[in-house]
Amino acid sequence: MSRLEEEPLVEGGKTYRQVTDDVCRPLESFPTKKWYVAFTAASLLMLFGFSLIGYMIATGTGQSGIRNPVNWGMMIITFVFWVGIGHAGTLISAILFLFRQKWRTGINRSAEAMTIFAVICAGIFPLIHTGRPWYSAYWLFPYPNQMGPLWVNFRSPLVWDVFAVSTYFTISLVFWYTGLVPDIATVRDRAKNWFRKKIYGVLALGWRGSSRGWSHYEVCYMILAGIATPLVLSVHSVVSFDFAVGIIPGWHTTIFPPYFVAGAIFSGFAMVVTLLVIAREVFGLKEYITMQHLDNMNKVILATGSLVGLAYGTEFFIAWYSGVPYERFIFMQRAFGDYYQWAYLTMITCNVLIPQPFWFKKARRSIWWMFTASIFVNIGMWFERFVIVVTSLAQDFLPSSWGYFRLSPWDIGVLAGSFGLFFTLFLLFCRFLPTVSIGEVKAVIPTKKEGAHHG
Amino acid sequence: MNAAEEEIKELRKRQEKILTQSDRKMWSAVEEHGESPELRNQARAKEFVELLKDADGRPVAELNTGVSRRDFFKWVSAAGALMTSSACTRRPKDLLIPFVNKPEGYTYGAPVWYASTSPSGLGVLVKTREGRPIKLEGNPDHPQSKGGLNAQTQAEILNLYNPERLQAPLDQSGKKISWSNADETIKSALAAAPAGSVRLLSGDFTSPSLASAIRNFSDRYKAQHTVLSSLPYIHLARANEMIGGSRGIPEFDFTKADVVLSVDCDFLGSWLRPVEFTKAFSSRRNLHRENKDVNRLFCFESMLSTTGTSSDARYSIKPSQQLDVLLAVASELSKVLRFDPSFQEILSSYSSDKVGAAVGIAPEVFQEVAMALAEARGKSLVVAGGFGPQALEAQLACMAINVVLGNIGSTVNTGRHLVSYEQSEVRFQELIQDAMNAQVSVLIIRESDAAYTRANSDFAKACRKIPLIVYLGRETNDTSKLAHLVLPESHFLEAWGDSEAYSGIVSIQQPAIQPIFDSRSFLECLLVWMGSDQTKAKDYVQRHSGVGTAWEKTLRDGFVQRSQAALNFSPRWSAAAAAIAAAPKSGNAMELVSYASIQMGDGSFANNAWLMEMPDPISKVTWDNFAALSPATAKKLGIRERKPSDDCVDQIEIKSGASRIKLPVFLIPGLRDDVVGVALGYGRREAGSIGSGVGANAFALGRQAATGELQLSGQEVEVVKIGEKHLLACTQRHFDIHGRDNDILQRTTLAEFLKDPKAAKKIEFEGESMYEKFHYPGHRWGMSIDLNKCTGCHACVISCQSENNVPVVGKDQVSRGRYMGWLRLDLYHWGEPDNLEASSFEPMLCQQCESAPCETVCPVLATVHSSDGLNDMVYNRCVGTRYCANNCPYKVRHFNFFQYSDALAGKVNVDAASPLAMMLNPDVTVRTRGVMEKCTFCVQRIRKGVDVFKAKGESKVEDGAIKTACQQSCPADAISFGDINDPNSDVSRMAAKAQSFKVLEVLNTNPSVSYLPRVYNKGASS
Repeated sequence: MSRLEEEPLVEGGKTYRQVTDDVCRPLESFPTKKWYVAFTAASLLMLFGFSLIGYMIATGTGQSGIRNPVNWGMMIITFVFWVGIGHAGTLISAILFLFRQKWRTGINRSAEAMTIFAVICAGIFPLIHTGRPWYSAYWLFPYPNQMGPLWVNFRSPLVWDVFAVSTYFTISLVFWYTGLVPDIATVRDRAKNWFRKKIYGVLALGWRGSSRGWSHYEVCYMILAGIATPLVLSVHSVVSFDFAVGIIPGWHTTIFPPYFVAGAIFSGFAMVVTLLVIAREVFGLKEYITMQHLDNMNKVILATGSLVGLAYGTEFFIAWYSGVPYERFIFMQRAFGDYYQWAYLTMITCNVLIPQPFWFKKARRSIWWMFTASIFVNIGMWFERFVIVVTSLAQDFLPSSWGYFRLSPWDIGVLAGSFGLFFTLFLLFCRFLPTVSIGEVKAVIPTKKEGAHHG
Repeated sequence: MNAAEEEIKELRKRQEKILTQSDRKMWSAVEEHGESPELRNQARAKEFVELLKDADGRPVAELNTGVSRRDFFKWVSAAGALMTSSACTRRPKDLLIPFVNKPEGYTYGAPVWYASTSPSGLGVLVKTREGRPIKLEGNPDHPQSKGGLNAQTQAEILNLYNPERLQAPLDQSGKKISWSNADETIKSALAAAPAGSVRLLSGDFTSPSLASAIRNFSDRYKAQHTVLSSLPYIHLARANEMIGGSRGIPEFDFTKADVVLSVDCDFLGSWLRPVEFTKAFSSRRNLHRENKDVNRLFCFESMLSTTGTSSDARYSIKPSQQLDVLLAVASELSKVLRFDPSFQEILSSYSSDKVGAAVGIAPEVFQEVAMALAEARGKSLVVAGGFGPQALEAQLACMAINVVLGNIGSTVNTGRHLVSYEQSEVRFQELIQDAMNAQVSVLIIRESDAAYTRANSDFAKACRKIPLIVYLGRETNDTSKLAHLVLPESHFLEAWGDSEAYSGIVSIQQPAIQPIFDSRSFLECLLVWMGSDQTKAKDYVQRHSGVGTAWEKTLRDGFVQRSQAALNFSPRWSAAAAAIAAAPKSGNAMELVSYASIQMGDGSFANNAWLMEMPDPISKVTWDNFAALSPATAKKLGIRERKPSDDCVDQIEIKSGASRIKLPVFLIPGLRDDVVGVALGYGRREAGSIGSGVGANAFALGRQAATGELQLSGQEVEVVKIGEKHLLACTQRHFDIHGRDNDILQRTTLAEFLKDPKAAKKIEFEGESMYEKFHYPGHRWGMSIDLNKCTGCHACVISCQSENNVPVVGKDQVSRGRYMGWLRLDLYHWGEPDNLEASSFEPMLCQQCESAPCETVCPVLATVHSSDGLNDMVYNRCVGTRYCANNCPYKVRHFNFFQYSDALAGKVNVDAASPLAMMLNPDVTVRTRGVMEKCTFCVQRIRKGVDVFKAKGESKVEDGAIKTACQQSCPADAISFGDINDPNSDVSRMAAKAQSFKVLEVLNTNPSVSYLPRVYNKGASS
């Protein structure tokens, strides 16, 4: 049986030692100027965001542009956005692992890290969007109390959110850390000073690289992948319930769970592409994060983007088919109305049209195109949430209560701040942890002898 | 035996050993003394060692930590004591002053009610808590207002506690002086004044004792009293004088009127006595299947008013066309009824064809109006209002038509008249002239803002020539700035007084609180200046109000009725006909329509934050007046239609003669293309931190008509767009119902309704649910609102604000969609902007749904269903996710985006140092920031009401015993409230009517609020 020659997953004919050296280099050398510039910018942006949040907590939720009837705005939009971003990491690390997609090895570590950081960014918003964050920080959790006892309202999708997102964060963190253990041990073993040795030593949990250890590790990793897999589907489904359970036309629809999951993976992959294009350039990882990887991810972007486009069309069809005048009205308003047509058009352009060139290999392998497209996709996905959250609320049942929502300067500052937090964390990660899974990559290095085992 | 038990045994042994070995004679009770030590020790051992047992009853080992339980508690208490002592600071000084001697019959926490009277003569009940008035309600026994109240009177509570009131007499430099100083200055000036040089200037008032005190004062100091009514209603009295022969405005009895024709007369909103008129008018809007007795209102108006929106047919005119319209109707009437020959002659040139062509209204309309009026002879009423160029002539025409229709004695009741001391504007001009000629030595001004309402007169200039100007008022204004002495006047809730709005009905103004500041009423001032004592005011009122002997009963009731002479009415036509023939004709120019808005009136309430933030009923604009233009005119001026995203609008300049004002444009449907409408009462310069500089002063465009009276409307104006933008804060931006009538606001015509009461329903909805119905074992509170009665007067809105401590958020926050009013009056229009078919208000408040969308989504159970059908808000549990507000299809939930309750509009602090804190209703939580709030059906009233009946041992509350704040104030009686579990309650009977509907019934929320549809009486033909 003849078959096409597969592209190697790691280029440049690396040896095991070279892999270790390449991945560990950023950790063991003094950071570059580029890193410092990036880190300063990101952390300043983060601090700016946090000071704005502090200002809001001191003065009032009204700093945001939210109003009656649009009581949710930037904060919920951005929450959904970041949760969505996180999905690519879990998908790459868990589902692709279970499907034995070996090409994931080059990118899974950074994708997982991205998940963790995205969920951290996301987690801030539900808390600060409440009117009294000092209470919602714990009143949203069911804790034993003497007030009756007074539990949370288990019928409320916001409570489901709390469970879904906290579970997701926990599992993602454990999964990521488990994968990191052998690599941290490698870093530990290479450490030249006492301090480094101690810290990585503690983090490595006594990993010695024995066959027994590897065998337990593999089983554990497999189980965790199994646990994480349903989360890819469940988290964003639950997030979509925040809207689908609502009575508001434009929210109250059963298409939301799959539509949200597709959108989440779509935006997540776009974010991975954005980050990896930068990372492979800055940290010299082109041999590990190859064109093949990027090509594959662009295929996923194309597929999920088209799924999302299909969902937009389906929504419209169902709005007409349902015969519900309110739903028909809101969809016509989105596309042709005078409230937020610009947002809808931005969403369609970025999410449906921009990924279309990825049908062609040339586009899939053009760094500039994919970088631009991935950023537009993320803009588009933010606007998708904007369209869902804002347009539906702005024009609901009683025309008397309709109102135009506008982002306040505070909103924009905090949105920017969340990117600052995300990039700060990501840059720290690049600096202190192996960005490519050393152990896994070694398993997929093309060697003359098929089936070489871990080194 | 387990280790624990063993250890405890060991412990006990040791303890016994210690106790028995001790040779001290210990006894802790007298009984123990003399007992054998053994017994005693046994008892002790038992006393202090108690074995902890686990679930199975086995003893559990006490922790052997080396620290005994006693020691532990010693240390804990010592540490606690230390901590508390270190946290101790000096307690801040509080001023809690209890009654030294508790008044008899007083219970702490229970409200005490007093009957009193508002300055405009509305009967009020003052609710006081711990000695401070917190709420005004209509006095249901009052023969005229019958429990109704308007928004302005509701807002008097805020005026009472306003920290910006004058707090002590001030001299010209603004320095505080004592009353005795001020009195001395005034008395010596009065004594030194040459005869006839003392002048009093006041606004119109209704108090007979004040009138008599002014007479006494004038006699004593040879003073002249000038009454200047800021809004001229003098034409009514003059017209009556010219035709009927006696001065006085007859009572208009809308209860008897089957057909009403209103020409520019906003009698349901701002004209004369809107509360009484609304009460009477709405009593004729009860719809039953058999009831064909519903009144019919034709409205010709130049601005869109609440009367226009309540009308059955409305036509647009401009102010100078009032007379044309009335005469066209009269000329149609003259085909069937006999007018006086002198009139008949005039009418020949006002045929409906001719007028119709000039006015742009089909001649058939006049025929229809005339037919309807003629059919209802003796049971019809024609009224005209406005401040136009033909104000007098229009009144004469009205009177003539009413006479011909035989309405005198029925709907125009000459047996009772409106008491007014208003004088002709000419008297005011004389005052100015005299001052200019230095013939005025002392001018005492009482609460008249002549410098503002007569901004383009020479009043301010003349004042400079007067040696002593004394201003008495509650707050500073443009006029007080001209005064040499500024004296603080008591609020009507602080002083004795009376009111006789309608002849023969004297209401007593009983104070409900000691003056909060160092103030006096006008009556008290006059008494003091006449050498009497201010404490004599009560006696004076008692003597001069004509109450007679039944003083205490009158105080309790709030009013007394006495017989009085009927107005003499014998029609004389010639003068009237001559006047009408000489009336100014309407032109083709752009005309100004100045009108008194419901919230601002003549501007005396400009510093009242509740009223400033009250949405204008028609435009829903807050904190501003505006230039109302028709969309076509705006387009012609190059003004773009306002997009949803536009917060700011274009401004225009309105020029009349030498005066000009600048105003933002607001498009109002149903206006003629050649009018521009502007509300009066805005643009005050010295109105405190709330009212200063808000909007523009339309009084400045007024002019003196040929008759010498003030003309505010109908003058020719020039309108130009200027390049500036202005922020307009509106609470409603969309007035088109988008074809959702069946779900939101059902309406039909009377003819259709009589055929089928369900005519307004286009689709019937039968709700099905997967869930079991909620079970309400006792009461289930519900409300029914009759859209046919609601006029949009907003009395309920301010009543709710007062009752429920609803905060004022300020213009900026309103423009950001954060208005907090729990109850709003949605307004919808049908038809095209240039051809307004119909309008209707719809009060929208929490619908207290049975399947409430808000309840399921709250993550912390801060909004929950009560067993009597309320959606309870648990404010201190709310964390503010705002999910409930999103999921509420009626959008009646309001979120505290900031700490709104701390200040009025962010400008006037409401804290312990401010008297405003005393205004708050102690029964209602003041909400903090980050918390959602909404209408609770006045749950505090429900709970109190239920308690009263429980205390009596009854299980059910009597129907009507509990009234919500909105319901109580509604002058139209549009709101019914009660137990919908009780089929015989008023609200159940309303809800059970075939035409009753619920808003958004299709969502299956099953609200507890039902509505009765708007039914337009288009006559039997349509």
